[in-house]
Amino acid sequence: MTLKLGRHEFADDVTLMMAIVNRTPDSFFDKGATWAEDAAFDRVAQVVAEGAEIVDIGGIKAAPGAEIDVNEERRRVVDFVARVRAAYPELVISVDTWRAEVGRAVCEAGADLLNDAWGGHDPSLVEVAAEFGAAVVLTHTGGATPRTRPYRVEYADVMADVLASTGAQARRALEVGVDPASIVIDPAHDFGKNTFHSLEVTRRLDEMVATGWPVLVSLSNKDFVGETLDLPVGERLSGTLAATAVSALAGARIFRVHQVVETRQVVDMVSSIAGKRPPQRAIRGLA
Amino acid sequence: MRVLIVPGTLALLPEYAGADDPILELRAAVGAGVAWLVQDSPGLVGTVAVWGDPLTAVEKNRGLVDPACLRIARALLPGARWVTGAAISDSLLIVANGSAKRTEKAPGHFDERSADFDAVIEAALAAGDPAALGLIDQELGDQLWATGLRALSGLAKLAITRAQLRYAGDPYGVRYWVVSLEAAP
Repeated sequence: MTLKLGRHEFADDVTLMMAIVNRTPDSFFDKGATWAEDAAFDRVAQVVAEGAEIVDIGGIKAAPGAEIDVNEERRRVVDFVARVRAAYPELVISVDTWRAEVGRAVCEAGADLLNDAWGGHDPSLVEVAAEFGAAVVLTHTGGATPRTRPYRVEYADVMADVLASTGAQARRALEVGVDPASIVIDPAHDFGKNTFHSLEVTRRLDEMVATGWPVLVSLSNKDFVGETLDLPVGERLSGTLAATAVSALAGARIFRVHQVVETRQVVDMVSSIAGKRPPQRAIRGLA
Repeated sequence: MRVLIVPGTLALLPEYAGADDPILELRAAVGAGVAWLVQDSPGLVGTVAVWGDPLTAVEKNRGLVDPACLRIARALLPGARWVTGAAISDSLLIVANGSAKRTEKAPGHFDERSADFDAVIEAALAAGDPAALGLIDQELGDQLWATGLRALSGLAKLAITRAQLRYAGDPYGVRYWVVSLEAAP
């Protein structure tokens, strides 16, 4: 089925790079590097030049921290979305928010996709997506409250819980009128999960792909990579790319990333190994 | 009758296509040549002869069934019924190319004899000189990893009335030619 992300459509065999653009002073990886609006705009220009099809604009870091109310979140993202929309008509604009009120404002400003990273915490968010013809990313968080860390969370079968939760969210999204071509599911590594859980959902990602919903993975430089390799933020690219390769082979479609170029190379390489993508240019042994 | 000569590069086969075409210029010349070959018989569905190297013993042991010349012919003109080794008919495709040892990066590395060897054949093709094609040194051709030259020598007794060298080049150290020949029946 064609994937429809707001005003953009993609054939069902393409992989997409979703570049993270933080309008935050405190996100874990960039540590505020794109907090200033112009810096964030420069980041958009850079990732577009690097080939990203999607930008995921966020106004609140995922980890606990200073309370950011709706008005402040809106100040951070709404006008910025409008500016990016005007400058890049071909770009898919995603906004990382759990709040329906913010979702409505960014859709009015031109967003194509609402990335509900907190797993349906605000049930009205998908209704906003339906109203505006926007796409949604539905995530598994184990029911976590936004901006909380997992604490002794356990599952009898983590992938079963992921499938049940994202499946239920997808059914509800359909009920409220979201286009079936505009629903994406995400296991949400590290959200409501310890490192063992995140490794297991990576290992079993094919079970999510088998549901038929396009799968997004957000692996980039996360703690499960850091803990697995005992490496701090800033030294997790290789581990991220290994998880990326495994996810790509399982059939993930959208990759939410900090490093666009490296991830694109890995995903293209894996797609070609899987026989889904021809080599770019082949003459060795054929001349 | 019409004879078209094209090189045996496997890059002509669809199963080896990348996203970007490494033989864009050659492919265009081959396509134009094929169009010329069947110009007087549009929608060609009859039997067409293709000449080229047969499978080697090694290739047979690997389970290959059809020689590359036949697979290339089918790829170029899927509508025809191609037969290898048949007598000259109205249309003939010959799959042949010169040395594969023309440069350091060539498949067979560099052999200094390549340039002269290929130049003689190329001149004979361009001039439509069948006698010269009959004199090709096949042993040297084998040493230089040329292919299909025995098929080319099969034209020795043909009365060629017109020859056109449509393409000559060696983008990967292998000498490619696309040549169309018209001959008296």
